[in-house]
Amino acid sequence: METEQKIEETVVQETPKTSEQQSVEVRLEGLSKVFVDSTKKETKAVWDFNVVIPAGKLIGLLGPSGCGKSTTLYMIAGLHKPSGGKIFFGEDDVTFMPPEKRGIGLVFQNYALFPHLTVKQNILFPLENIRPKMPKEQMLAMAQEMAELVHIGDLMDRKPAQLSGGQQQRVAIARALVKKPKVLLLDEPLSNLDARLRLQTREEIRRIQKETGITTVFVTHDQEEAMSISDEIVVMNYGVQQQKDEPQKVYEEPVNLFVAKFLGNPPINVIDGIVENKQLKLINGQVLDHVDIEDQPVSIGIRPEFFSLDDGLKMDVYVDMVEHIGRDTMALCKIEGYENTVRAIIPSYKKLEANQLIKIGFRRYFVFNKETGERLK
Amino acid sequence: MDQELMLTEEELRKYKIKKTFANIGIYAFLVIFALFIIIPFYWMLATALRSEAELQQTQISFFPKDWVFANFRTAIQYASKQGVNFFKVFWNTILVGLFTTAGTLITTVLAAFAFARLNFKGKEVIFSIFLATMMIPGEIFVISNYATISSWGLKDTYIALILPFITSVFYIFFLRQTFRQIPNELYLAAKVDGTGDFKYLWKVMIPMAKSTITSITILSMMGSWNAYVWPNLVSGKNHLLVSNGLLSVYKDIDGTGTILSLQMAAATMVTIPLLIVFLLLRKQIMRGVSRSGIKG
Amino acid sequence: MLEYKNDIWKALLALAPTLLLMAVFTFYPIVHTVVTAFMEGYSYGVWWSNGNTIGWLDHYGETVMQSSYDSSGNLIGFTQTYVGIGFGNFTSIFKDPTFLAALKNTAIMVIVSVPITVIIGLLISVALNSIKKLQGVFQTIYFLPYVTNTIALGLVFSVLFSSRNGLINSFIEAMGGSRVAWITPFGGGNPSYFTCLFVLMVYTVWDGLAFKILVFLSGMQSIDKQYYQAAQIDSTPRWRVFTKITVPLLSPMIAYITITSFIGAFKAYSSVIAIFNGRYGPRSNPNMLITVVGYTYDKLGKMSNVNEIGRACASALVLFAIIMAITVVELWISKKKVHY
Repeated sequence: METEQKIEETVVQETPKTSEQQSVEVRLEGLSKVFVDSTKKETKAVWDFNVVIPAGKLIGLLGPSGCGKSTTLYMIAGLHKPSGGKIFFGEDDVTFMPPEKRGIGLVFQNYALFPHLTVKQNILFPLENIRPKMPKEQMLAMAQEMAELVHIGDLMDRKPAQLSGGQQQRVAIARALVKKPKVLLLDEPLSNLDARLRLQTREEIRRIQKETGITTVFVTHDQEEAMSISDEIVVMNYGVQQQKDEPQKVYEEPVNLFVAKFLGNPPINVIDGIVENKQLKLINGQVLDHVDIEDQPVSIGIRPEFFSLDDGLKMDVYVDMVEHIGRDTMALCKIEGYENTVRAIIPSYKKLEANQLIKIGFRRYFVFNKETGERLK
Repeated sequence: MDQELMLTEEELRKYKIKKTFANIGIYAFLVIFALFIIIPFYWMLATALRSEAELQQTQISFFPKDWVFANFRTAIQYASKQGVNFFKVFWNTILVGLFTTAGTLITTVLAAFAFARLNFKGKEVIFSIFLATMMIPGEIFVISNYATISSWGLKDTYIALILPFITSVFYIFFLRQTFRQIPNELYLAAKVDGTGDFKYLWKVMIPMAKSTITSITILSMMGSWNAYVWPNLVSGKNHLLVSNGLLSVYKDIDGTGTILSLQMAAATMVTIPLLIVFLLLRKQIMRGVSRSGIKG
Repeated sequence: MLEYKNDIWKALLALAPTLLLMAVFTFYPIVHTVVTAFMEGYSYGVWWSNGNTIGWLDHYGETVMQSSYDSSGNLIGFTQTYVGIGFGNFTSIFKDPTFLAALKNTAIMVIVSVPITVIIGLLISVALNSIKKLQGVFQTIYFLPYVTNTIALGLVFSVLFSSRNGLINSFIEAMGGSRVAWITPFGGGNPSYFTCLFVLMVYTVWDGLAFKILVFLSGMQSIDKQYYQAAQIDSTPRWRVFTKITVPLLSPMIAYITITSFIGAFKAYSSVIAIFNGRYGPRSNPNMLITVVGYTYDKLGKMSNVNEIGRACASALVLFAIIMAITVVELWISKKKVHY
């Protein structure tokens, strides 16, 4: 108990008390996390992760579940101890600092609100640990200010169970921000909300982040969520960073097949192909294009919206089914010699009938190495 | 097919009659057993109120002829003639109950916290050993504990009645289960704000385990109210608990009708407080008992 | 949990009170009881002195001998004596007719009371579960025995069955029968083993129903209603619903309740004491319904004989062995029979 007291006292000097807080750059250098289970089996949750999160930006960590993104977030928070590498907040090495000394706010996926405390008590909770104790009025004022920021000022005396999912989310954000942290971390912030609230809340998060100018990292498996509000996204898989760039850039120019497949809805069409004598061919022999790639089997990626009926390169397909989805038409096509279906999105004004052989056009495509998934073109 | 499935009016009427009879049967069964449960309580109260003259007769009516409320006062006077202060006995029981419960809560909350929240080597082993002791009948402990308490010179003290019972593996187990249901994120959220482990216990875990703690409090208080064996061994006249008071003061008085009413008056006075508490806290008590019962 | 935390000091702090108490009141007694059970002719006590008198305090805190002596301090020594190690205590209790009677009585009580209580408890629970009106009222009534003092209500049962002016005999007489010497003599006739056991069993069932009904009922309420709806669609008779749906789905609870009832019934003591006003039987035969636990506590009460504490330990161990054996057998059976 006594050592704890001491730690808390030292925290005070470093925990900012003024409302003006400089945002800070977060730098991860070769960050790794290896879990060892009881049978001494090692799992590399995160491996050699390097990323710079510029001050005041909103960064989305994107990847499928189990890709190590939450582990990375928890390491930034100080809840997990890295097995290797370093974490910097600005110039400070915080790798081995306890969470409370780092000046972070963390919003959990399930919000982790204390069910027995009111909204006000929940928001006050982080402030009550600060030593020397702040005057009660000051704490209340700070809590009220935060509540106003996230628009829950009139719900202060309710218990979490009396709030909707969206309101609970706001309380969790207010609790994370009340200490004026340098970095805000959000773990799957929208996954527990219904579709309508999700749209609303992600704009809300964007607004709050803009207003406070706080460096924010959030973790999600939902590409749309990440792309819509992030300044930059970092795509992860198996604990390794795949690509980091502006959202549209990552979508338009994926570095590998994984990123190409992970982003986009409906997903990208992946068609097996082969390069022979600088010619890109389907496995049924159709020649698609002339390419400057060495001979090898490849995966061809074509996003559904890359197709058009008239222009671009041509491919023989059999139109299996036509689905009208409002503004667009989705055509499900079969290619001779292939099992899988190719999805094409075509503007609705183009007339297209099912059960016919057509030459479909496409404006763009990606070529990936069949083995490594690395982008070749 | 349709025709066969349709019931004729006659069949429907028969079905309804059958159903009504079945329902009457069920209620009759329940009422009979409810009477079986209630009659002893009634007979206790009725006997407590009967006059001496009435109890001298061999023919006894179901309802008392006169209601002699003075029997309660007489019962207390009878006890003090035997050197037992009835109020002191009540007071002893409440005191022992309160201290046992308070002690039990402190030790079990701390131990359950260690098992549910802390990381340390040998946690599972120690917990398994604790659980194994639940298999051993309490009678094994009584013999040696009696020797221990006597050799410490603690016979006929409050400490003797309280000390051996201020921890309980069962309650530790019960609380640990509750503590483990608290989402881990709450702990992490508290850690992010620099909340120490013991502070987290006090500010989050205990308030969230309120209903289990209430159950333990009620069960532990009831335990003291019903304790007989141990106090019978270690208590002298000064530290009798209600069960022992009842049996030592009013025993062997069946032959003389004059005292029968006093015995039942005393039994009533011992029974009523717990019944009142039960009727007030009915929901919590029944939930607590059933949850602790199903744990096994 | 923070996976790199090591809280050994905090854990020691948090566990210290429990560990200390358990060391003294749980672990030491286990060792002490086992060891003592095998010590023949065992006795122990404390030498004390108050300055000029020295005495021997036996383990009941009674001074059994004292002589003048000059010394300082109060307690001056702790001695235990025994004459040998062996099964002497066990052979002696198994030769003791009282212990054999206790074993027999306890076994009869268990065999009679456990099935009756479990079956009645199950039937009442099913009936309760099938009604809507007054369910709460009935449930409260059936729970009352759980929150009453065992001794107080034991005394009430002895009054109910009193031969002179008890309710039961009055009722029998009103119905045209003749009075029975249940637990007290009547008309020159002494109460029989059967009548005494009967009264004790009625009280045991009365006292034990509450817990069983509560556990069964909450078990039934957690059974998915769809099973019953499916049965209703097939117009399954009530009895089949009970035996084919309720009982199998409730079997874990039934197994649990049966094990705990067996253990509880083997430890019968307070109910006997209460009904017979501090004895184990009617005045004509005070040890008629002595139980194993009663036998054990009786040994504690007889301090004059050096050997008694060893025998008490031996009989407690026999009880433990029986309970262990029953638990193992029941777990084995329920593993085969319980449908999860």
